[in-house]
Amino acid sequence: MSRAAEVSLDHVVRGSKPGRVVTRLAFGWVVVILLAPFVVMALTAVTGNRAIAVLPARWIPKQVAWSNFTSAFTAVPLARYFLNSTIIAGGSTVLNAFAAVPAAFALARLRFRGRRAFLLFIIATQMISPIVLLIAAFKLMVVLHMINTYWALIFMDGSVSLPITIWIMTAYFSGIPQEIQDAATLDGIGNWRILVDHFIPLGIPGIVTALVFSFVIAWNEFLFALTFVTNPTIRPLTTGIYAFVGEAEIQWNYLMAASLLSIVPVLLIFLGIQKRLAAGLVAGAVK
Amino acid sequence: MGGVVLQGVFKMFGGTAVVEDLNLEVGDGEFMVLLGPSGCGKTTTLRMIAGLETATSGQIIIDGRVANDVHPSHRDIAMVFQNYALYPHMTVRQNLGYALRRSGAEKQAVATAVGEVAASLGLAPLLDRKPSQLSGGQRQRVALGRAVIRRPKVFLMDEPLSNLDAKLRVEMRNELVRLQSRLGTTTIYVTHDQVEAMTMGHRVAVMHGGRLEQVGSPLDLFERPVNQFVAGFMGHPAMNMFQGSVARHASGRRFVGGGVEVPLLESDCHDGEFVLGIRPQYLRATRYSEGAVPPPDAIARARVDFVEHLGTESFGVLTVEDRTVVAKVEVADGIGSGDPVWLCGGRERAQLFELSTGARVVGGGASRAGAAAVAVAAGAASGAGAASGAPAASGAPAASGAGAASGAGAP
Repeated sequence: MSRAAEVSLDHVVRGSKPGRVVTRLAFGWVVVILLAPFVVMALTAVTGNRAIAVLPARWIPKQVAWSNFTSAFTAVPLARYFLNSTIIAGGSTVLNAFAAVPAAFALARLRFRGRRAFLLFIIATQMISPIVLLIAAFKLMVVLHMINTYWALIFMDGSVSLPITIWIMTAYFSGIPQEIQDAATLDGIGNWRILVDHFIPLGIPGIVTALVFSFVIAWNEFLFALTFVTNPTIRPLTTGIYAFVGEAEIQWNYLMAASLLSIVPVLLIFLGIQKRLAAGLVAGAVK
Repeated sequence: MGGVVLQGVFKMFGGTAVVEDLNLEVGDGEFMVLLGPSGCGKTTTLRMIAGLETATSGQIIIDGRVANDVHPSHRDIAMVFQNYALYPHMTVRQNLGYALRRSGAEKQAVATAVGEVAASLGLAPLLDRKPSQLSGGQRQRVALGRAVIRRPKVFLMDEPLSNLDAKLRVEMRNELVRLQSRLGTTTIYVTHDQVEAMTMGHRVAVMHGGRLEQVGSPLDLFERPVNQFVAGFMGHPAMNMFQGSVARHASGRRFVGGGVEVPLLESDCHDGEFVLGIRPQYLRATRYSEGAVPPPDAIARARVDFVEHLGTESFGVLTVEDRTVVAKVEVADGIGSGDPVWLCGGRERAQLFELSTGARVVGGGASRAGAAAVAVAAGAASGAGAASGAPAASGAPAASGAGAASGAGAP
């Protein structure tokens, strides 16, 4: 290839130098905007009680108050809230797994009348804001005697994330070669056994991806927790740390410290399954 | 073991008939090949036999029992898929033993059966590997082993060799034939590769557009195709087709068209429009010399586009008028690209097809059958030698209709 052609190709592939600078600046600005809340959160979380009240506010504290993290645990039963959130998010994830895996298998692989309409109906439920369902859901929980129980949040959080988990798993299961199902059918295996023996092991990336979504949605859920649970012993983190928002003052540093801590489990889960998550999300994009 | 009978089988997808009125009988222990181009309905037929598709109408009889409503797992068949369909999360051992294990066989019995099959297929050292750790040929053998281990009444194979490279495909082809011969299990094998069909099947069923075109032994199909489609599909390189007309000339009845002129026996056919087919193996290109007397069996003058050397023989891709014709070339003749040649021979093995229906009217295997098919009248051949070379040379008009001759042989 000639030198001129190389230069020309390089121009096409990488763009012009000013263009690259502008692109990088634009991306840099987006990154700053995305990270800013976390930076503010982290800085506030390590600001002492006195420094937090100083006006005008100092963005960077003179002294780092690591004690805020331990104080947050003593000011409210944060450990209990962590446990409650784990129970609720874990429970709704398990519930999701039991409901979504067979549903996704049926939608991906079984042929029945109304299959497509049902799939569209499932995704349509995602269009409805949870707040629209709140009153009806509250009445339902009262009738079922589930107010102030873990079950209320497990069921509601699970049902909110169910459509998206079904969709993710359906997409993933659809990508598993039909011949594997056919071979298993000829081997004399029923649909349940095909699901358990083949689709679940082969669909692990998709299933994990979907369940992580389910866990995160339940972990971060606030509205149902605020409405269905008033008993502090079963309060999850989201409404538990809301106790730092008092009528007279807001303990920003404790609130941010607790918020920062509440992110840690989700962050660890994401880091742990990062590779599988990517595989699950792009499933079916290419053969 | 058991035979398979298809009686008036139809398969519709929406309003489209994918398989139409299929009647086929596969004998007990027979190796039947379903051959046809993509989309001809052969895989659908196989899937209907397996029970993975439901026949819209007609009967599927396996081992004397109507199987239309029998669940696939109760049909006592095993299938080998094009992409092997091995369970990727299981080891070779687990793949082989899976069906037996799930059918409730005892652990020891499963282990023994797996060991025997693995030994017979050379899989013993690979038993603890996953499919992703195997080569294409090894995967193919595992797929075969998975079918064999159940000792079914019928093997169904859906283009099982198509993902293998050419050398391995030939090896596996032989291995499959030996295996089928040893087990004596009724086998229905789907392929679009006519070489596979010719070399493997006891009989071959050629399908086209959802219909069964012809069933017969490989040689039958090669020598006596019932129509232009079968003639064009069987054989490699594909049969040369020339569209033209048969008419009485001063020297006798002749086929003229597509740049060739072939004398025919008086009794062979009536006058009219036909397609003449001659296999490349029965045509040869010989060197043309300006002013020299053409060979007595010359049927056209041609120009060599290029020569394909296949090792044991060579074929020249020639242009006759503006059409492509494939013919054998003797390497010793030193014929190369751009050379003018005489297109000779082929008359004894030529076949005529009705232009309107594509049905064969005469010819094909005449020498084997003892009947003079499109045998050239001896006198006409010698006497018309110069004349038969004339059309191309003199620029006589070709037969009407586009694509009268096709080197590709596609009808």
